[in-house]
Amino acid sequence: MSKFIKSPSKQELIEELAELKAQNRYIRQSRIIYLVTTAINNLFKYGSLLGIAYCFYLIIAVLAGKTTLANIGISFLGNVRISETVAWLFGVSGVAFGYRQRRLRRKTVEHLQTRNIELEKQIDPNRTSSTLTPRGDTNPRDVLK
Amino acid sequence: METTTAVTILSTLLSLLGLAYLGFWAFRQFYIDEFRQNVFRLRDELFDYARAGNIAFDHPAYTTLRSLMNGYIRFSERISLVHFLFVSLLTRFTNRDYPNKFSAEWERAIVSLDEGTKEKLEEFRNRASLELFHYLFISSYVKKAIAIVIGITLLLIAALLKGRVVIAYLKKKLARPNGVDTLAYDYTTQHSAQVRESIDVFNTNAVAFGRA
Repeated sequence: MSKFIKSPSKQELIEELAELKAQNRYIRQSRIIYLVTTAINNLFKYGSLLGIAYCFYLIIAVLAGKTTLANIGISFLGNVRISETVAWLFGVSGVAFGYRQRRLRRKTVEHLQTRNIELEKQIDPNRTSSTLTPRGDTNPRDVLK
Repeated sequence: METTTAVTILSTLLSLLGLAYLGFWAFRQFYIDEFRQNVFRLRDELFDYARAGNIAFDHPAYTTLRSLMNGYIRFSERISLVHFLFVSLLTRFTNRDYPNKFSAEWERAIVSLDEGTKEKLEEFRNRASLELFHYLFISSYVKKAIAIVIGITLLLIAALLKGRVVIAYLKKKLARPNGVDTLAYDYTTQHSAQVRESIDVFNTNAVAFGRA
């Protein structure tokens, strides 16, 4: 059986070339936008860090007695209410982060475990179980009351 | 008193640092993980659907959809709401046909399927797209909210710092005899002298006139 590869026609080649050009343009544009947005993002990220670091430097100079609060102009941050608000924001965000991480972990355990049980049962139908809940929590029947 | 305020500022700065970490790194990574996990689950559902005999594993519709989900999982770190909006806008004006390439391929792939399977696969695709939009909006919203809090605080610091400098400069300038002071002073003194001189001249003339 002989293999015959049909060579593309001129029209097909032109169309393919046009498509490749469009693809190339799209990739380039996307790449440029990615670089620009990343640069802006990094400006926010590292700009904030730089600002905070500079304020740290100023306040350490105050504590070392090299200058006074009146000279550095960040006594605004020394307002107890502002300090408390920012601390609350940080605390609540931290707790929310921890809670969501835990929820994601439990969802992942549930997802993977369900598939794992199904696959292992195909190999060992008598597979025993720890009887934890699908999300990996202690079985309510095992909790001492 | 000054030390107490300085320590309060220090604690505010530490909280701001923590917020910056949570907003720019921790939450961002969390949303990527969450999005990937959701797409993994969706991809597994698609696999189960195919395993149940509804569609062949080598059917173009199955492979296209799976590739799309793999792309989402692989490139989620690179995609952001701003990036998505810019690419959509730019391609709308300069490269209109290319972004529709996937849709065209998808239409070709599902054309041979029966209505039920087609509907189910469309549902998988829509769910994947919804996961992507959810990820883009949620991750962006949290990031921006925290950026705004930090940004406003730093702007206030800058404004306050600059404001203090300007006020101190003005006070210093106003406390000194400046151009306006000198002008006013000179005007008053010279004017008085001139008036006094004129009066003196007048008096002298009047006296002289009287004598005459």
